[in-house]
Amino acid sequence: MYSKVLSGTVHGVDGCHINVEADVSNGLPVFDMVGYLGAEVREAKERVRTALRNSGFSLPARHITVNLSPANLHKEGSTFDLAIAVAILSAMEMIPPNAVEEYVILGELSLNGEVRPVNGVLPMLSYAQKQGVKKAIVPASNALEGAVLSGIEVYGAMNLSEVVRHLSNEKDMEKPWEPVRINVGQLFTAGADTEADFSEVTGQTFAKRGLEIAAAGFHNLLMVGPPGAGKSMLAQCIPSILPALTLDESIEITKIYSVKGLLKEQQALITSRPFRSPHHTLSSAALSGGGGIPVPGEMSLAHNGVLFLDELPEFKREALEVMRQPLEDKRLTLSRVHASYTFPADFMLVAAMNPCPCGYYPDRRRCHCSESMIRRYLTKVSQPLLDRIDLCVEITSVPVEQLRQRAREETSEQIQKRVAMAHERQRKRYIKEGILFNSQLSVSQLERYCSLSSEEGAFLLDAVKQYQFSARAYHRILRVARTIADLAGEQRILKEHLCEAIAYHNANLKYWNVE
Amino acid sequence: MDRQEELLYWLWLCNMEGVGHRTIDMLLGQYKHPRQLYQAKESELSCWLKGRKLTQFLKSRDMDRIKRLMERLAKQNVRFLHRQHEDYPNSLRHLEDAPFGIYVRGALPPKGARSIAIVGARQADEYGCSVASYFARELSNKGICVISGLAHGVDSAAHKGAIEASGYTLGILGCGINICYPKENASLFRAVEKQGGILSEYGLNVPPKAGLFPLRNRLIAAMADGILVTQARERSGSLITVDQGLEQGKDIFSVPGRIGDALSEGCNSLIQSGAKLVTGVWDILEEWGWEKKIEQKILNHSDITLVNIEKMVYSVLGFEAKYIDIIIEETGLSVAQLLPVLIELEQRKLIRQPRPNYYCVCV
Repeated sequence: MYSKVLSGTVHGVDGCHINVEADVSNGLPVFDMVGYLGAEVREAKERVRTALRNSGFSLPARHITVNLSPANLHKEGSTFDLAIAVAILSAMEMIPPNAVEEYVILGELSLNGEVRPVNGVLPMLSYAQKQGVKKAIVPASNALEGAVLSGIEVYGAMNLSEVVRHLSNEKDMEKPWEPVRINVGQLFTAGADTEADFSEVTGQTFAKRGLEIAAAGFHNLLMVGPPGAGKSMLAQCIPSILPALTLDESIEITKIYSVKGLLKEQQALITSRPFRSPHHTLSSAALSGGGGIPVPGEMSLAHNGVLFLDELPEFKREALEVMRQPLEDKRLTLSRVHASYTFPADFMLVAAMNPCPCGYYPDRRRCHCSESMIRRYLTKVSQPLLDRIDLCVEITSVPVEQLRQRAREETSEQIQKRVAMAHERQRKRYIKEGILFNSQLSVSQLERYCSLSSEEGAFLLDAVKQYQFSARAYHRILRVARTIADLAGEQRILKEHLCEAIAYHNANLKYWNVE
Repeated sequence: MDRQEELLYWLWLCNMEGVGHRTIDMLLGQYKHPRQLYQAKESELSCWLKGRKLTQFLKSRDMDRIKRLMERLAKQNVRFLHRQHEDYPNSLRHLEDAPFGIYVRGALPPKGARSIAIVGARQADEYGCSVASYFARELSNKGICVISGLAHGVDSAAHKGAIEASGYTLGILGCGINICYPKENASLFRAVEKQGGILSEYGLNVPPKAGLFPLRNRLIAAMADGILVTQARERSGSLITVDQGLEQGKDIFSVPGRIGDALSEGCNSLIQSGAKLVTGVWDILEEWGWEKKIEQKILNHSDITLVNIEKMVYSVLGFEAKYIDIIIEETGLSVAQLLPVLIELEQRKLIRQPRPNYYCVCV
């Protein structure tokens, strides 16, 4: 008898379907598996055989052939175990053959027949949903991931016998099998659980304002300052003011975390924007993603969130240069011999660095670094990378006495409200463009949405001449000015917004006064 | 003996490896003129020179090498002046250990003009640099030559100030005449050469070495009539220049700093030990016989018409560059209110940004 069961795998961060076919026929008692299989898929044979036996099904002494198609696609991972077991049982007519037709089945088997969790359930189910599949059986601990999708019923399986009982339509009166449900709205009301708050940071008015602008328009930001001035502390506060995630954004992020296996057990969705702060020893592959079959790296894990690089010049040069393309294209393509993989990487880059090796420049009372030492240190960060940074703020150290006697500072909640308003304005304005933030505006869109009156235009041109800005810098200033205008609730970009945008646009080494 | 030939002998004298200044001075005492020294017999010389020194001396007597050297100097627009040359600066002749020859690019200071050496810390802050360029500019306007060492910090600021005022400025090097040290100052080197001159007692390709700079400082002191220190630490190379200047009887001026300010400790202790405290150019000009006409302040706030908010912002700024956060705190304005004012003031050239988002007043 022949049977077919639908299963899936991931390609990059997208799911795709794999058909598991099984045939039981007369002949020598052999269990054959074919279909361009990786080592862990070939090992499935032993797992499935033992799991079936330990669940009370014995394999008949007949010729069993299992094929995973399409046969030209290299298959890896342990996602197919459950589907293989079900396909064999179906071919043996222990499950009615038409019962499995409308399901997609995912899951790894352990030797005693338990169903174990796998990575990438959400992308696979999301693909199945788009293909019109109505029902899915997934490992119980991954079931919540799939439950956020509408139009597909997701069943969480604890063990193989449970799955067989369900597919054979045997009713278990004590514990009926119900699809997992989840209230998506409720997930988002929980809010971000960040501990750091802007009210804990004393002074630093200019830097805080810079972070507010960066968060509102999703602009990249560089902080420069002496050690202990509060760069990392300010960075930790960023999640507390970021605009809330939309469901689509949230699903995009969850897919990536699902593929990488970083979702916590029983976690349905990632509901707050990611904040990734990798250590500076990280390799370029860890940043971009890599491996024979590439898995997402830090840049993708920070998708729709913040990638914080502390001590920027300490990062390996090649690791930093890897960021250039994703910073422009908002995604990353890795090519391998057999295929190329595209990962989303639309993150907000926040970097922090000292201005010189000792960290105290330009305070010459403390900094004894020579001009050439400072220059060498600053040029560790390449100009092309700096060009991609919209805002640059300097953090100065606040005297300890001042920390004790400061008036109340604004809380993150107050700032977040303004950010959320600015975000809402951008969302409405760009509803037809398919973008969410000012930082994503292309040059042609800039002309449409950031037009200046003749007076403001002349002012900006003067500034361009005075400070010798490049064309790229000009566009970055316009984008930042647009965000500042949004924060102020203005329809048009005014001169004061341009002034502010110019002051924050200084990530230019030439401008560091080190000739 | 024609002038060209004489020049060659002197050039040989200055390019003798392994034979020191003192030995040459002693030999010159014996032989009067470098040509006679050049032609001296080995047997005669052995009374004065022994062993390695003698072989080095004999080896250096290679006229072809000297001629080639002369051509290379000419190619690089370097003039060589020896002690008996009529263009050799008189102020150097009085020096006890005056160089036998000097190398010059550009022009030497005009004869009879007064000159001031402006020196100070390489790692000066905005205050030290602003003041240096202010004095350089104002003194240049009065026709006074500005001399300094073409180093980072105060030196650079002084040269730039003089260039801004189109005055004569002389840079004295502690390395070979064709070596640009520090490299970052390459454009300043060109500007100084064009509008003044560069002088060194070291020939082509002599690398900068720590030991050469104190020797360079004695030339700075000798070439100037007065020495102005704008910012110096307790133990600073600028104080060597001052010591040399005191020995040579020059006027010493010093710009005061705040007490407890490490960058100005040297200046303050100079004032304690008798240097003249200066707060403006007239304090120097007065010393040199200029008649003081009007009371002139460095910063004249009352002359500038500003609207209220601009006045408030301008009034919290000084010589020292202030970071924007401090300005926000002192004025109580928000970032959005403050920036248009700062940019307006900057465009009117009343204030400037020495570094991004640091502001100080223009003087």
